[in-house]
Amino acid sequence: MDELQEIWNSHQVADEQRLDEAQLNSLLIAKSENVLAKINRILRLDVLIMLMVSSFFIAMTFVLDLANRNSVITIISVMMAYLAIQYYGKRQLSSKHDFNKDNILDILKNKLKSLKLSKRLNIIGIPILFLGFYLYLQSILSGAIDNITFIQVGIGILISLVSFFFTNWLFERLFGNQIRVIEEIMKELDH
Amino acid sequence: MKTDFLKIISQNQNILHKVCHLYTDTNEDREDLFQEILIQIWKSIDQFQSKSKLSTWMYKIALHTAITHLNKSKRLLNHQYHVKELLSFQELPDRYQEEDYQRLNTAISQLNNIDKAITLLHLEKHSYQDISNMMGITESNVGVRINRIKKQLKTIMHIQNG
Repeated sequence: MDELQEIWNSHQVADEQRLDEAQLNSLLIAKSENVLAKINRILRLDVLIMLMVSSFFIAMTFVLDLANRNSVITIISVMMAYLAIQYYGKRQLSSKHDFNKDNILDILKNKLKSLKLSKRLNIIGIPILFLGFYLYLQSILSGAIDNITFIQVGIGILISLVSFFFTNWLFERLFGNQIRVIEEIMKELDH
Repeated sequence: MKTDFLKIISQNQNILHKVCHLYTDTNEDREDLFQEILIQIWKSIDQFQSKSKLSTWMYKIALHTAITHLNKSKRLLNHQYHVKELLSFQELPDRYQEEDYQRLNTAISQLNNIDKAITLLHLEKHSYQDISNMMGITESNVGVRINRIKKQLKTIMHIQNG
């Protein structure tokens, strides 16, 4: 190994490969292909979807039940709670790592943990929201929550199941590849 | 600040070139990775604390970026060597005239991404403790891996020598 170290350290970068400061400066403008940077980019899309879903629910409440001030306040409060939980998840996911303290394994572990937390918040939170909103709509249409039939509850559960699978699919599309890459790297680290 | 940054990188670009050379096959991928590492260092420069060693800090970012970099052509994960690839090693670029270095570099590039990083740090004379702190694995694991890597490199270079 000493011999290999000697060979390795005797090598200097060829002059034609060395870049001057102007060339280095010109390289600083580019889109990152790093897996973690990619997650942060996708996150923006994810936040947009979350805001669209929330706005849809709030807008529908205003349109359908504006006269009932209590229900509007309830829905907005629920949505705010949902957004706060989601915000926590997204913040965890987009948090910057500190290369002075964090090692490579920790950085990857934290990112993976945040991704999985965000996935759980989405696939549990969104179906509950859909179910709640559907039952809320039915209660408005039927006049009272007591008038909701078993069939309507069944449809509500079906809607939440569909939204569960859809959210799961969407999350997989957005972050699935990144999760697999991180897991593969971690497997190599554990090997 | 940018001027200082560019000066630092210019003086230490050897680190970036070595990492890029090890983790990529083509010039295009090499340029992409170089740029990627440069951007990551630039983004993190305000975090740098002078109590850390600059080269160690740069290595950590460079290796982290190389390991998590998504190549345009392919991901170089689990890039294990096989005989067909070894045959192509004979076609080394003339411009270097450093055959030993090139052979060593080509042999290391056949290891998986984590072992590449450990080998690079070991060759750059970082201690087991340093490597352990950078990678997040135990010192004993570093030792075990380096022993395993030595055997792998010996086999690969033996095949290279024909």
